[in-house]
Amino acid sequence: MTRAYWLILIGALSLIVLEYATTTPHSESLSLGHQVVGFNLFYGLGGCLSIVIIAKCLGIFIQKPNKNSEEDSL
Amino acid sequence: MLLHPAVPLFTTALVIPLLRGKIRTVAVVLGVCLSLIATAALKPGMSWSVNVASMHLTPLKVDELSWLFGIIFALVALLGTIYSMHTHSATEHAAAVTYAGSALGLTFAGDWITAFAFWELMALASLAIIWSGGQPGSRTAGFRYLFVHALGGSLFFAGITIHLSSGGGLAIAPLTSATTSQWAYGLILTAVLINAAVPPLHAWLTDAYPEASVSGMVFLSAFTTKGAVYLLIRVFPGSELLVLAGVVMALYGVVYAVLENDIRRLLAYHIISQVGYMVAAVGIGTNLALNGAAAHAFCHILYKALLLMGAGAVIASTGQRRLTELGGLAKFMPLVVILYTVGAFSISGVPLFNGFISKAMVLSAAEIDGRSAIALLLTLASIGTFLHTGLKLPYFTFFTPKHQISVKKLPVNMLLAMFITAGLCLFLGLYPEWLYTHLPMQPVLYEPYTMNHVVSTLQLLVGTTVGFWLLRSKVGGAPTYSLDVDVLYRKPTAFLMNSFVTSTKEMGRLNQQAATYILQKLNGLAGVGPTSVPVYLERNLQPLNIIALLVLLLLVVLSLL
Repeated sequence: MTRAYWLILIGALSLIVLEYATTTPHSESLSLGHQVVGFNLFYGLGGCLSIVIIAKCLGIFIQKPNKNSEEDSL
Repeated sequence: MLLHPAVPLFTTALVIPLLRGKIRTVAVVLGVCLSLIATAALKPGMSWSVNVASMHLTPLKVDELSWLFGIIFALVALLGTIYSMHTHSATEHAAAVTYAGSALGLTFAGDWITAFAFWELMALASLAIIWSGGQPGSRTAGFRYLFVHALGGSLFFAGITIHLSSGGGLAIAPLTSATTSQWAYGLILTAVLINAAVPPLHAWLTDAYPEASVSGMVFLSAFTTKGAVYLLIRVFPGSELLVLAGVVMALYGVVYAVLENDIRRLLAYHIISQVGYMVAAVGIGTNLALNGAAAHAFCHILYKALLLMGAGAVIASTGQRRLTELGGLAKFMPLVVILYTVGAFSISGVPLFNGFISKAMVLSAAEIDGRSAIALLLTLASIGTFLHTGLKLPYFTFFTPKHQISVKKLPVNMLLAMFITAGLCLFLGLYPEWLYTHLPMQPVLYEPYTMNHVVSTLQLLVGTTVGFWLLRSKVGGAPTYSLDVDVLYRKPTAFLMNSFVTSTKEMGRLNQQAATYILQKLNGLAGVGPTSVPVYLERNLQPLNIIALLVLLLLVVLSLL
């Protein structure tokens, strides 16, 4: 792994530890972000991957080769 | 002395054609400054009414909500004017100040008739900005924009008419089934949703805005959609349909932005996504949610203007607008990178930037109201926002090495406008109390900077960064374009416009032919053979052309009534 990967990994773990150490639990809250430590980290990663995958699947149907210029003839 | 903030702007628009060069620039800046001062001088409770044709109209009615929207509209008009000071298009300057003035007119309108008049003026002024864009697609995109907004204006007018005829009051007030008819409610809501760019009524925005000039798009991003959000807050708070519509908007924009190669279309999709937050918040309808909608509109106008100024700076200095044709610009324009990053961090909700303090209100309002699924979906949209505006666009524009690009020096006024806007984004992020004390629902007891919120936001951003890094080869632009809902009406509008132009030409010819016919008839009396007019009509005016012309004229007339 490169140094950038190590930095990101250390940063991510630090945020999980920080969350565990400092935030108050919200047992009454329905939000997963409040119930599961580190949830937002994985939600960020999973959400990013999901958006890209969904868009790429959609792109199969809606993406077309570039037009050289917008039609502007009347 | 009570001065309507729109008056200096309309006056400026009238004198612009009479002025040249630096005098014109100074006049525009002075007019916009005067409008900002006039807005700041207004106090909640002030109003001004007139009787017109036995109707009691209120062109100026100030409360906390209208003041907040008024001040940001006037402020962004000034920022946009500074950004566009180097341009010489009198049409665009006049259209921009008219657009800003009509947005202020809508904001301070106390009755439906005044609101409708300014609503339509906004549509026409924004159309003029698009048409003066000078892009290859400006003209056709403008016609499609006209078609959609003529339809929206017609629905708005029909809704107001039914509302008034069914005993509804002239004053703008929240609409419910108890205060108006279902038809009026539905028509007015649909018209406002068209201007808010709610899918599937949104494609006019991503179609037309990127065809304006770089400075024109700064103005366009600020007024029409936010004017619609203003009306939603005022007229439809707590409408459950808006929650779903808002979530769809927020996600629709970020999914489409993945596929987008044009930097301005990418940012246009993010306007839809961000307005989705506001629409959802209006639908939730609690005090915190409505404050969140107003705060997010305020912050969004600033950071979106900054992002578009940054994208405009790239386009102005390179002449390129596609990610596949950009790259490696960071070493040529480091200041633009820094200022753009302020906008990107703001829209992504990074702590210390203004998006953080407003987006947090909307998400918290959803959670407190027991709508955790809505909060999760809006957070997902937030991930997409950071992915595109915070990572994808700057990475592929400023940092990836690319082929040779010639970079022109930017005018100082463009950098100055970006610098001031970035400063405002940071000011609000660092000092949210100023905004919170001016929100419509007081008192505001919300605290955005809790450890829980800051840490969870940072986690989201880090997770998204990792995801982007893993997929960076997949999310870069490709030389493609994406079909959107506008494919459904591109051909019909092209047909309508072609028919309009053809029919207009034909009518000119017909007039000429008729004159010739009359002359020949007179000549016939003198012994020369006549020409048959019915044969000419049959040959030159096709029935479909006539129908298309009539439909178009009907729409235009209805929308202007």
